[in-house]
Amino acid sequence: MQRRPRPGKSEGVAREYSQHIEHGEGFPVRAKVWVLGGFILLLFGILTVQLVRLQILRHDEFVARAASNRVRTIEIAPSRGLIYDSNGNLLVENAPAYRITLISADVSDYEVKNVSEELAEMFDVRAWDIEQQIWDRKYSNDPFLPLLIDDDPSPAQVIEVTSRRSTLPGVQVETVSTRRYDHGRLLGHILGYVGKISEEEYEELSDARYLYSDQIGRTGIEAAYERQLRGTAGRQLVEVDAVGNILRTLDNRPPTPGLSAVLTIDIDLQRQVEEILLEHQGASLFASAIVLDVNSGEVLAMVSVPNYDVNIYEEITTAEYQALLEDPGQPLINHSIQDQFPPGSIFKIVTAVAGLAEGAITPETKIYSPGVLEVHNELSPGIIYRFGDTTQGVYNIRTALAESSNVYFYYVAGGEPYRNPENPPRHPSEQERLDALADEGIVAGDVEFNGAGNEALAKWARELGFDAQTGVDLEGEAAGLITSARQKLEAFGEDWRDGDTYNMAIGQGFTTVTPLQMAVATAAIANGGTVYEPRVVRELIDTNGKVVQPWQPVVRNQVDVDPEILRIVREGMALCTLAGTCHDALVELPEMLIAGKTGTAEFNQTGTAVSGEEEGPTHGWFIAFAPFDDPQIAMVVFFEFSAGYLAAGAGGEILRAWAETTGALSTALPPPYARIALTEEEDQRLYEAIRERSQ
Amino acid sequence: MVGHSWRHFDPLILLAALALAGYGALVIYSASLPRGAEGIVLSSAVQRHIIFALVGAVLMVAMTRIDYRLIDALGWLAYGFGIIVLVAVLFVGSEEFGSRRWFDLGFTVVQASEIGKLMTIIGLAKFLTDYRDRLQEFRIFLLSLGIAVLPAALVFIEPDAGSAVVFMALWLVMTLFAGARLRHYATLAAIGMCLIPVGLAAGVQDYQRDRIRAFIDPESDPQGAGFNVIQAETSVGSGGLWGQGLTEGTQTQLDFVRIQTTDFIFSVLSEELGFVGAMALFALFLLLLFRMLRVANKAGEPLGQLLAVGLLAIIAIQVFINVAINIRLIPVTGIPLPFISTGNSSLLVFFVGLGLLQSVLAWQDDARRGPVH
Repeated sequence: MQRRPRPGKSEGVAREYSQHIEHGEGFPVRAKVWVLGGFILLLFGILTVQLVRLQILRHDEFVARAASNRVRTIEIAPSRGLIYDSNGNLLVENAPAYRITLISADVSDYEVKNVSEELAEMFDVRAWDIEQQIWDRKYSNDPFLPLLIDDDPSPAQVIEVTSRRSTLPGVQVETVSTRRYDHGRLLGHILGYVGKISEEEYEELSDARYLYSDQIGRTGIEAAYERQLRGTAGRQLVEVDAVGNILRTLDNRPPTPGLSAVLTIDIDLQRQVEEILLEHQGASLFASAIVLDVNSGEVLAMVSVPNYDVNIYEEITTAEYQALLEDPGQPLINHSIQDQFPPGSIFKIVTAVAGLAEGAITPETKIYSPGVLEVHNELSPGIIYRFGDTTQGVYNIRTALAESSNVYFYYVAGGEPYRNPENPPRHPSEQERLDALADEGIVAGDVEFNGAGNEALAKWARELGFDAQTGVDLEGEAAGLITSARQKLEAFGEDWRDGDTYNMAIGQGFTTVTPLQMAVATAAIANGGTVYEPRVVRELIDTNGKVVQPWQPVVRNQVDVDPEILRIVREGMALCTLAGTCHDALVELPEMLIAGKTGTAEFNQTGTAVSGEEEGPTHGWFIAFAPFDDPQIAMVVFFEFSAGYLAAGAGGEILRAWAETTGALSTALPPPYARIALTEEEDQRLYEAIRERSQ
Repeated sequence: MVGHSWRHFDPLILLAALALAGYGALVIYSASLPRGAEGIVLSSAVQRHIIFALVGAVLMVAMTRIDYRLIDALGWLAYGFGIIVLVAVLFVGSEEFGSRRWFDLGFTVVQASEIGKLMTIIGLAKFLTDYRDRLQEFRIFLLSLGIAVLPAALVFIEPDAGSAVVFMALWLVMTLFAGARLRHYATLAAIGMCLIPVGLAAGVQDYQRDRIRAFIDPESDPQGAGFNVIQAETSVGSGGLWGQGLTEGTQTQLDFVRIQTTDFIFSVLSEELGFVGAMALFALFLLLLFRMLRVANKAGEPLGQLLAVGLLAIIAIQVFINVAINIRLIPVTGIPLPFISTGNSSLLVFFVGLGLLQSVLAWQDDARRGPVH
């Protein structure tokens, strides 16, 4: 055996090789073995250093991380608050339902296919679709966010999933609740409905601790009181294994159920109001009525027909939804608050307040209506604008309200009409008659008379709550419109004309209001000037029935006006019922003195108001409060494509329904028409009017 | 007497290998323990690991009797067989986790790349021995590269990038040992650099990109590709000095560590047996590797030396890569931990490979006398 040569630093590699091949020996290995050995030690050294870092130096950090690994937080949905009517009738319940979901993070990569196939077999879905969804969610930011597999499983499917849980990692049966509304149609517009929270909302509301499966209020009270009805989610800390099986509960904070809402609505009154509206609807595409407590702003009834059953939202088809959308009566819209119309003559109560408060008229001011108001064009003699009236004669403020004289209120708002001196003079006999009236102190013809003016009218309208949302606790309220000269110029670039003021005086032209605004203003006139924020929810109670948020009327504005002025307007409204255009209401409820005002508001094709010069189809309005002596409620009735006197009939029935439901009838005094201090002339007019009607 | 001699048999190699396999069985036992199991439950994985280790030990001893210089005659045949196996697995292999790496033989599965590794060592050893005087030629150098690239490419398309890396590392160590010129590596590296963009565009799969991203910033996708990286690191770190105790690690027992009997078995060991357990493992590996290094030192001729260096390279590289992944030093790639991870074919191949080295030891005196025959 030869001694193997050791490789020297200076020896050439090639020479060494030739030697060893000859002798059949190996490579000169000693040095290389050393290098290799050193390299191996280096590798293990690197590993050891890193192990020291992880296991010794950062040990605590990883212990904490391992602990947080196996602890998972489970959010528990609170049960949503219930809704009761003012008499404690339950209006909505939470019906339990199941749904099948899957947590992608709990399905390991190689189980995805199997799980998808099993689910596809059980539910009517394609395996490929589920598989794709699982992969997407697994590698998304939130793999613990459950995927919805089936939101309405049959009992058999629920049992099957439960029994096959071992082969279906991540699949779970969840108990959820759905809202079942007891008067889904009658109260649909008020209750509203809930819908599944969208991905965007879920992310937006993550601070409010919504769950992915949560329902969220979409309209009505469900939306307006979402925060209170919802409650607070509970939280459970559990130890889980890597596939999400719960091993034990570490901490449990139960959810706080949502508060329940008690409505101001009386379900019986609401039902009767709906019946009355439907009965009187006739050719109207839609109608609305509101009954309001004048001393608090509580809404006792609020109906908009046609309506729809909010329960259908559980499983509405696109076609059904489309049909609702295209229905000309717009059932999805709560016409009581979400729609606005020209008020017509009911707006005269505002003009009356403005005229009296601004001193343009006194209770004694008499104005003559020849049945039309003629305004001459300043620049073009011969052009005459005619503003119509439905009645004629000499009126004071009360009789003008009772009989709804247009001309009276034209003067109150806009003063005497302009007469172009270049036009030919009046017929002598007519001029004579006008002069004779003027001699008696009656405003007639073009004798100088200063009206309250457009700006004052707008101011008082806003004082009474117009041109702004009433602040009712429901979603999507319209604000209506009160326009002044300045706004017209800004919005339309047009100068304000005298005619605009005349139109505004009788609730035409640019003016629009919502039925609820009308009810609030009527209540303010009835209660001495307090503009309340109307409410449909009286109080919030917890599950024990304890009142958490008590009833608290909200005063929006206290109208700064002499109470005497409001009394005069109220008397005018009482006269309207006794002998004026509101007589149809009296017919329905003769036992109680009620005060009202009708409106027959013209509108054009696009639904907006037309001016007094034109003629178009009309909406029917009736506002009222009752009883006259001690006002309890204000009421408004609105019929699309109708007339004021028709609305007054329906209004009378509603007032009767209210009086009978609440027992107000027995305590009311009989119509004390003598108690309204009538002047001689008023008395005369009243007598004539009654006689005329009785013929 | 010249020829075979049991006198040279290295019992330390046998003992180190058996000790490692036993250690592996212990960790697999814990990792595969069913939840809530009472007493000792030996899963089939543990039983098979023990059985195959014992079979491997017998094979190692038996191999000692066979003259390793048969490779001189049959080397190419063996290499060819390895290639055929690697090609065949692409067509008839069973698919799992999206790649075809295994033959299903019914009673066990065989990982083709494990056979391929041993056969490539043999092929390279044969080639480098035959052409040792011409290795200085760039053409021969390239040919040696080809011998390694062919199986590497085949496992790469399985796909199994980790094993492909092992093949290339094997070639590097063996040719360096055989004395190839450094200048040639430099040339090759330069060419390789130019090809990197092409390779990235064509060869890197989406899952590989994910793994690299997950390695750099696992928090970006904690439940996805980053999950295993974070969980393995957490397991190792929470082990501390003494570990949580065998079968007591929450990360392992609650299954947060995935593929815990193969790629991430080291994190199981580290969590439950701690730094001390890891050092014991390293000590056993170092013992084995240095006894193998001794074989290279003892072998009197190039074939034996190259066989020893090749097998040693494979084991050292796999240990390093596997552990480094577990402790977040390099990106995730599926490489089993030799002797420890489940995988019967891997276990057998290493025992057989060590048997080959025992043969080198046993025949060293005869080999030193001159060429075979």
